[in-house]
Amino acid sequence: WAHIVSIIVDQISEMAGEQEEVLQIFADEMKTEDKFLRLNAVRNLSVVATALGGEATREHLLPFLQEVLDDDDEILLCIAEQVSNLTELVGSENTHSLLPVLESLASVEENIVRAKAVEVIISIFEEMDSESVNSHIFPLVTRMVGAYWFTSKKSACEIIPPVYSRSDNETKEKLVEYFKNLAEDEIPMVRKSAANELKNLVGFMNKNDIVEDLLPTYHDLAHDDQDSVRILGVNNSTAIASVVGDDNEALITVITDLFKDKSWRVRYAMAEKVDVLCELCSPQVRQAFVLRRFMRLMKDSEAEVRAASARKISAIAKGISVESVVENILPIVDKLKVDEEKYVRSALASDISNLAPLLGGEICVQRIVPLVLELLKDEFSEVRFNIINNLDEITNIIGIEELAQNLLHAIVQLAEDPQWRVRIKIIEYTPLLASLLGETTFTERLSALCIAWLGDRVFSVRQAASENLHTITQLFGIPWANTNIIPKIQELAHNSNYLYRMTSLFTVSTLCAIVGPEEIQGIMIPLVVNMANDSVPNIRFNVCKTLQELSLLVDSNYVQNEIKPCLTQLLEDEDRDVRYFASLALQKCNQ
Amino acid sequence: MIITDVNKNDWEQQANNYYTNTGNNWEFSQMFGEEDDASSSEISSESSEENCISSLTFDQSGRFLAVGYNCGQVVVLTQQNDQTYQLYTEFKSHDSAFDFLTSMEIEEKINMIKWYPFSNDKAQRLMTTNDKTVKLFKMWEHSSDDERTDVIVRPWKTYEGGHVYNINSVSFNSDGQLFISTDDLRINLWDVNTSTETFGIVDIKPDNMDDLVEVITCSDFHPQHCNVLIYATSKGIVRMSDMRASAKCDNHTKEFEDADSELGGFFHELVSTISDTHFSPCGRFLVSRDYLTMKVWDTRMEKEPWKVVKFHDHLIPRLCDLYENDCIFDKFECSWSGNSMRVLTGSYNNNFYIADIFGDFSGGESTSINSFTAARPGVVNQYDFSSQLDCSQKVVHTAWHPEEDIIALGANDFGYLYIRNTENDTEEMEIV
Repeated sequence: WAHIVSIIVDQISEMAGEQEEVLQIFADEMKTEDKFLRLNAVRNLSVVATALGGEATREHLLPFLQEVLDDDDEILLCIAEQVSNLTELVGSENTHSLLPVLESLASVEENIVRAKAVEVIISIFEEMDSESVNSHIFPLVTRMVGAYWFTSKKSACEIIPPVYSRSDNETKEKLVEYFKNLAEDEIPMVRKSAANELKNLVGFMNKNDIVEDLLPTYHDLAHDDQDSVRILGVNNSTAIASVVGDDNEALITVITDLFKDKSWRVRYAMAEKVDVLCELCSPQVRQAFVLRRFMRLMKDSEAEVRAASARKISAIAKGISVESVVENILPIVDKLKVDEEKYVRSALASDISNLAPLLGGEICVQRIVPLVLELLKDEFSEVRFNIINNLDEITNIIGIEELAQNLLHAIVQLAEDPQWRVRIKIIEYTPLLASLLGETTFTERLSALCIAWLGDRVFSVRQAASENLHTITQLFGIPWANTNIIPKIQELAHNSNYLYRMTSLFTVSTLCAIVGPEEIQGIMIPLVVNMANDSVPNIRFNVCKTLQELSLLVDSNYVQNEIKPCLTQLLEDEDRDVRYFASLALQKCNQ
Repeated sequence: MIITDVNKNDWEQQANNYYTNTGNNWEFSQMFGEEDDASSSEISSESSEENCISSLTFDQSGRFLAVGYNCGQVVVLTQQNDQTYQLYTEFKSHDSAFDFLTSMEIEEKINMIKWYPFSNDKAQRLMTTNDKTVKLFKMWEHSSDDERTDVIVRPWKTYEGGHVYNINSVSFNSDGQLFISTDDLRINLWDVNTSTETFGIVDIKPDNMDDLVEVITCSDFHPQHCNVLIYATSKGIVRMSDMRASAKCDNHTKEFEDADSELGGFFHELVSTISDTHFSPCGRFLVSRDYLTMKVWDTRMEKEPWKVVKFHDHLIPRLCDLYENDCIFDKFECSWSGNSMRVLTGSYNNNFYIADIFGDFSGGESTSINSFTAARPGVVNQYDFSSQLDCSQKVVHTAWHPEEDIIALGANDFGYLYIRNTENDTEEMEIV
């Protein structure tokens, strides 16, 4: 098919000037049963248009497109995209000729197509001169607003804000009038679109106009029957607040109502935006109003809302005084830490440490540390992980000693968790913990654990453990590795279970990238070479692979004397795979 | 039509005026599914299992009637000027599939069809579901060059993987964006535009399946309030949930259970399982259909149903037989009239009942309910129930035109349309 399509495209490009025929070819393609052919025809719209030239495109091609809009959504989307490429061709003073097709596309039900058409209309509008805007864009908006089908009205909601920004006062008034009508439409999806676009319109209006014209509409939408409309009142509130300020009564009324909305989803949305709201308010309003509402959300009957507010605790705390935090927020936090829903506790754990820098050392020790310690013992592993994740916030303020005991206990618990994904996660946190605990404590208490992980039942855990040793060695240095890790690896290489011997091989691989040549030559390679006589073929061919990697890290003499002989021996191995990898390795060595 | 605060007595009085002024007599209009019938589709008239009708639904305007079949086929009929329905289009909605995990076949039978409530003049969308997969189709007319108009149906979205158990119903939310799909133990909330995610809002699965005592049989969203839904269970309970109150709707807001149910005994639970439940179009009432009765509830009163319509008492002596031939498990549907005044339901012997649902049902034989037999005129007269009970001929599926008094009935592989006789209507009734 591609072959046929490209022939047609070539034909068309050669036919520039023979307009009727070009149009006919395109029209025929658009009538075929095969969707793929139609799609390709549309993809080459610019080619067709170029062949036709600007005038014929305007007078024949575009009207023709209007007639083929009874098609698959994929093709309609393509048309919208292609039309946007035709602006130069039709001429900048004639871009309005593209609008009829787009207007039709902006009334289809498939959201992706409709949104694209609107996007193109707006981009055309932005480049238009004022006269064209008046004679073409405004009538288009008027038609869409008065359309029978709700889909056009949805598009109208999206077009009104940018058009507003470039209109004269008289037109602005009319556009606001339109917008208000759309916000009262009987179809819920139209009202939802209006609610969604309100914040964008607000961005283009001045304070007086907003207060006079838009606040009543904002109020009504925030009290709509449909949850899906009211929920958008949240973003509209922050948008309006940023222009109008925090002392407008109508605004405060709506925000209060949204905080108390019957639908938990609206309250959830408020919880997510409460920090934005906080920042837009003066300190007095924060303390007197936002804080009170936030406290209620933290005690909300629906767990999702409590969890959402738990994530915003530190953000809110930033905006109020320390005393206020201690007096108002911490008591509720004490309740949240024993919330029956684990996701609430988990959300709390992810944010609580951020309070430390705000409260200072003494309060931190008295109030935050006990909280953190309790959460470290939570039965839900996510809670513990979230605490560990943010520990540096606390240790920066008070140091590690207060936490060390409980922290280590928590780590050991997680390291022995029956779920292997939990074990992997704690391994991934180990470098962070190592840097927090410092070399001495870490070596004393956790290095044994790091080695033990190499012997986990699950392969992914063993692999993560190997990589972990790599990172820790980078942190603490080669001498440390020499003392604490390498002897253990050597032991592991003699384990009776071949899987653990394999692990030691892998670990050798990962460590070699960072240890020094003495270690490589003195310990690592001898260890590997020793395993060339292992009874298990898997070990033997992994020896080949490892030696291949290691050969790049030592000088050629060493390769000649120590590595090659071993590989040559394995070339005669009874196992086919071993022979294969041995020869591969030797090839690399010889290069 | 949204009823917010109607006094029950006022409503009852208005209803009884309506019943007095409009007769409850229904006449055969047409039949489909038969070979020689002008409106039939290509489905053969052989009475085989797969040609049985499995669901019937009018769209919001009544212009279209969708009929789903056991074989996975959907036939759409459209209303003509003379109130008859002609074939508009048909398509294969679902194919049978094989579930490898359970080694069971997934039937292609269409369990429910619902029309998307906000449809364009040019294109409609309809949602169909089988046991496991919900699909949304787009249907539109395409006029080609040579003046011919074809009806094209394309699958638009497929919502799969949401259900472990068998789906029994789907319902659109009044916001035009969300819908629920319900299986035996769970209700999932979907966004129409997103087929990759769904949110579980009701889950009655016990931790230990040995403790299972109750399954969900059907569900419905409130026609106006975007946050209210009901679901009915095999224990004869209808639960109402408010999606605003909490994320998980396991804790119901209201529970409608008729504790007065007289039957008792071995068959009690079997006959009290609710086979269908719907909100009235006005949103103020709900009806539940169980094996022997229909109950209308005022949604504001959970204590007891407002009306209990007993029309199947003649089956009580035969419950043993009905149990043995499995007919006691038949799931009869019911339908409200568009003005929330009457309720239709089907029965055996191809009979169907239309109840003046707010009439008087306190006595023994009530005059507020009429029965008719779905059959070609002249073919059969009404049966005397005490003599012969034909359980193989049953009107299981029903639908009522949303604006006119036209009803559709599905009885095995034949569909019937009946129209109310308006000759004796005294005045034009406006329901407030």
